[in-house]
Amino acid sequence: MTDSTKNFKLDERLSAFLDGEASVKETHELLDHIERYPHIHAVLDQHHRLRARLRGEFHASLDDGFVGRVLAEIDAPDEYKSSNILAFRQAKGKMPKLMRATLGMAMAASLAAVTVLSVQALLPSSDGAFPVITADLSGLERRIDSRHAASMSAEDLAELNHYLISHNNSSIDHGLNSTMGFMRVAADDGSDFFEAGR
Amino acid sequence: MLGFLAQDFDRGIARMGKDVADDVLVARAQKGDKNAFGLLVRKYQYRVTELVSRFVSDSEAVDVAQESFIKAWRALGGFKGNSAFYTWLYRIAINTAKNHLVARGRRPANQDIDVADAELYGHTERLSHSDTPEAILLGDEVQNTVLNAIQDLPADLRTAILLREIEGMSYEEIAEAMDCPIGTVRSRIFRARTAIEETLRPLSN
Repeated sequence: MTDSTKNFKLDERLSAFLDGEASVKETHELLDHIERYPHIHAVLDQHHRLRARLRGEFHASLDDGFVGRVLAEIDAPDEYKSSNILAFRQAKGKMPKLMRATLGMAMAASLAAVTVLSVQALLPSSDGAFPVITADLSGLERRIDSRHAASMSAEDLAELNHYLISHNNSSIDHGLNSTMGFMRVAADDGSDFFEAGR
Repeated sequence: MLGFLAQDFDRGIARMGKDVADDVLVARAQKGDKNAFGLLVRKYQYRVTELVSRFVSDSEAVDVAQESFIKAWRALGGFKGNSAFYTWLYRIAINTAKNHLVARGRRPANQDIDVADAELYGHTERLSHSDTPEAILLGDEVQNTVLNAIQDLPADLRTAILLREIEGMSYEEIAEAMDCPIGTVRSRIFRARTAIEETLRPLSN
């Protein structure tokens, strides 16, 4: 038997298999064969496309990666499942308009408040020196002192300081540049020193 | 053009009996064989996408189809084989499409399309209209090519492929109708498809 005859016979068997007309034994043999020779998937795809065309089911937006995407999704560990794509899009569409607007305004207000506080606390003094916010990192209790934030409560300063440090560290951890080019945070005794800067 | 073929096919597919390959693939997939499930996805991807595109827009249809297959995989353990696999899969696809519409705040079609309708969806109202003029033209060209290719086939090949694709007959029924062995039917159907594919190749490229 020549190779082309063999291929012809294989294609004929595949055609019957896709029609569900191969015997159980033959089906198992073909499945094992397909597993051994994954390139046969291309032949199967060809058969499926033709069937879809004959039956008026052909869908042009279906790309070659469809099967791979489905298998990748069912293969993915639970924590990485994107499932589901629709849920995310649906959730986006589900949120009432008013709630979306309120949420947006709340986020904008928070951002504005943080910006104002940051600028107030970090403006250079009249002698031109940059402010220094110091934090006692040795104990559990954090003490903040700033010449330019005298009007702020210690709690607010601690909160602000904590926020700025976390934000900056987070940016650096994500491979971004430091977000603050001029801020410096140091421990009271100067031994534990953190400088945020580019 | 091919509309009558599609409708006849819908009539035909409802007649098709048990699919041996599906049974084997489902049994393997239920044991965790993802490659077997992949072959089922490969086989039904067009049909499911076409089905859900009657509920949702074409741009959403692929996502909804993908979600349907993922749901099918998760639910496969519960499939008892009381119906054909594709009937079960269709039910999942229709529910996924309907849920998608509800979640997007759109009302599903007034008509309640059930599984039987799904198998005959050529007769149901098309719910999404996103065919572009180019797609329609290309579709018409492909359909004409298919029709011409079928017309040009030798009589025995043409009869075999029409009985299979249009009437939805099993190989055994075709063998009886054409008074020939099943092996001959298998060969004729394969040769007919190959010939049609050859004529379609320039368009695919």
